[in-house]
Amino acid sequence: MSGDRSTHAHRLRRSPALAVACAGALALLVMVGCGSDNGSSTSTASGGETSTSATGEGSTTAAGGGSTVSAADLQKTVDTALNTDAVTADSLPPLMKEALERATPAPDQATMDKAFDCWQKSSCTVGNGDITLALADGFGDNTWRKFSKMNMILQALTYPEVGKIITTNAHGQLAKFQSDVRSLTAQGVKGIAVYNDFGPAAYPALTAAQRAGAVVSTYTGPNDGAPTSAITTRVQPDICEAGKTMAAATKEAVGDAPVAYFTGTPGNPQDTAWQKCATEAGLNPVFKADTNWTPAGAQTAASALIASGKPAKAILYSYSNPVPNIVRTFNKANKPVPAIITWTQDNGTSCQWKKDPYTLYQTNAR
Amino acid sequence: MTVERKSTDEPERGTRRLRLRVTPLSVIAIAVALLLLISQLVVTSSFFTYGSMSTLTPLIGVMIIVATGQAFVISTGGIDLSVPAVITLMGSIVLKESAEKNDQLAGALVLCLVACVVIGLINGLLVEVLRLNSLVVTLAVGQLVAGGTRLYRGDVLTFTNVPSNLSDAAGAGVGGVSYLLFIAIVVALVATFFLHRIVPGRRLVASSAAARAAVLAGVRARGYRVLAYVLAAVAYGFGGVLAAGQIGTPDLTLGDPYLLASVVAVVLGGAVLTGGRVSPVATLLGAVFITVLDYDLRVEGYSAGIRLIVQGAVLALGLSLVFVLQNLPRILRGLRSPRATSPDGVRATTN
Repeated sequence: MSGDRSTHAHRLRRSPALAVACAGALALLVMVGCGSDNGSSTSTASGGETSTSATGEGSTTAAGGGSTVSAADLQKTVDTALNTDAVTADSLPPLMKEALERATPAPDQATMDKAFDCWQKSSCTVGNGDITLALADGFGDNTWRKFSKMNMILQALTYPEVGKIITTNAHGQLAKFQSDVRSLTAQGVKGIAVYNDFGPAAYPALTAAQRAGAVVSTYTGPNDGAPTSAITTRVQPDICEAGKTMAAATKEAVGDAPVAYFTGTPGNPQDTAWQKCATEAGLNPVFKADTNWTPAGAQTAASALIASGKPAKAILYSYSNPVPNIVRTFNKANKPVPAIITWTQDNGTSCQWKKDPYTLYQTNAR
Repeated sequence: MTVERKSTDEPERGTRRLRLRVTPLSVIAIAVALLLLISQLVVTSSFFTYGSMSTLTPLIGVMIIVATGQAFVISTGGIDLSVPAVITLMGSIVLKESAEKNDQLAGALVLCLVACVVIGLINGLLVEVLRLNSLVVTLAVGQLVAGGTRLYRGDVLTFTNVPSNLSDAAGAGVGGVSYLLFIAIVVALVATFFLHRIVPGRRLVASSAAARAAVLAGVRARGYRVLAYVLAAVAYGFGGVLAAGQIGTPDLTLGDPYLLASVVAVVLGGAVLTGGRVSPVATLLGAVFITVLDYDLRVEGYSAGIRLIVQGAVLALGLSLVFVLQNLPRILRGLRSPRATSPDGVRATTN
């Protein structure tokens, strides 16, 4: 992977999804009364380089109150989760270390069956614990989100205090998401893990949920400036840093050439944030288009870019899943494929790149 | 569809000339010509290049086929809101049943056809036999289909690409113009021939334009109107399969762009939403207009909000224009002697 046909070293794979989901779930479980810490915490996690911090009396005690995980096994999990061997388990913040300790033992068949059952259903009873835990996903339709859901379920199953798990999927609709959160609150959920795709628009619903006694923890989504009344803990990348990283990758790929920004749903806070920071880092966007994060939208956006005649040498896009459609559109038009800079990773994109390489950077958020 | 029907009120000579020339078909044809000109001269000088045509013409082709289906339903006085769900279902069936294997594609297509016929029958029977509101029925059926599609598709698909034969066929073209556009033109011409030259087609037109007269003439109007829903669903399915092939990796949003746009295309083709005769050729031009307009706005970098506003405005203007064109003599007469015209004198015709 060198020259103009390269892929960036930092990758957000399933394993970092494990890290993010585990950290999110653990943070939430700690807050709702599992484990030994009731203090508030704030964590940031990323795939390539993880910096997790916990305030308060963060516990490092693993499941059941004592760790049975060997140091070597734990280190193996850390290496897998962070996609690097440069981070030692002992250097991790206590909260994250405990999360990965819990994730290290391979689940037995009964646990896997239970997890799969929960993963398929929107509600399942997992034990006699008095805590009902929920996952409210803003858009739970892609593979990464489905993996995250399973990671969270598996992590939650290590806590005997959890008696029931409820999951919801708003399919990208804010109104449904708000309704989901209200419904969870009405069902007496003690803790809600949230992938907030809607930014500040979701805060009123989350605030109401916390006012009703639930603890809200978010992971990955854009939550900058969130009031503590809406979110108790959050595990998320630095979106602005993601923009700067994409800018750096772009400069490495095409220098100071003009670029195009592809956006997901119009006006979504995540894209707005990274695009602002990427532009401030020196990029020159000459074309912007919405894609709704769909293959058809990405294809139409690429087609419009071709027709516009704008000299964009790179396309920056937060979502890797529709990238094959962008590439196919350029190939179909007999146009050279611009450098594609994306901060997520997708199997389809990777397979396409492997089969017919083009300039692809899959950066990661820190 | 024209406004050439003779009236018992003989208008002045100048008005008659106007009536003979200004038809919805001629208006939309001129509008499309102007839009294409603007696209090339104002929006982007590379509009008629290989690169643009190769990516735009497939979109137009699918839109024409879907809009032709919508035209059948609108001709009965109904409207079909199950379009996106049917198209999305097609993508899922192709993915799941073919499992990326070309030799399983035929079986998937047969299942697509069966699903479309069933959906069309349900829509048609509920609307025409039980006399339920088409808007509510098709919305509900669309929701049922969308929910069923999610269950059928499952949480994680093992296969995400359509068979190569389908994607290759949908991606093929000549000189940058997609075969999908040619196929769509053929579909529109066949639909025109069916409606104007084939007995069942003419009976379908009669059942839609003048249902009571058709019944009195011995035509089983209700059955033909149900047929319109079935034909429409099959058209959506055909468009959906081609859209899936063209996208290559159809997801659960495959049909989303076709809901409002298909209705707008039919209206721009001169149809009135209260039912009546429709012209597949004019619908074709309407589909070209709405797709190219949206494309131009994208090229200019306008946001989705602006594009939606424009689509809505075009729909409203199109409906107004159709009303004016179909009632021009009465409007003119009303303007000249307002007292001579009753309040009901100016009313939309349904021819």
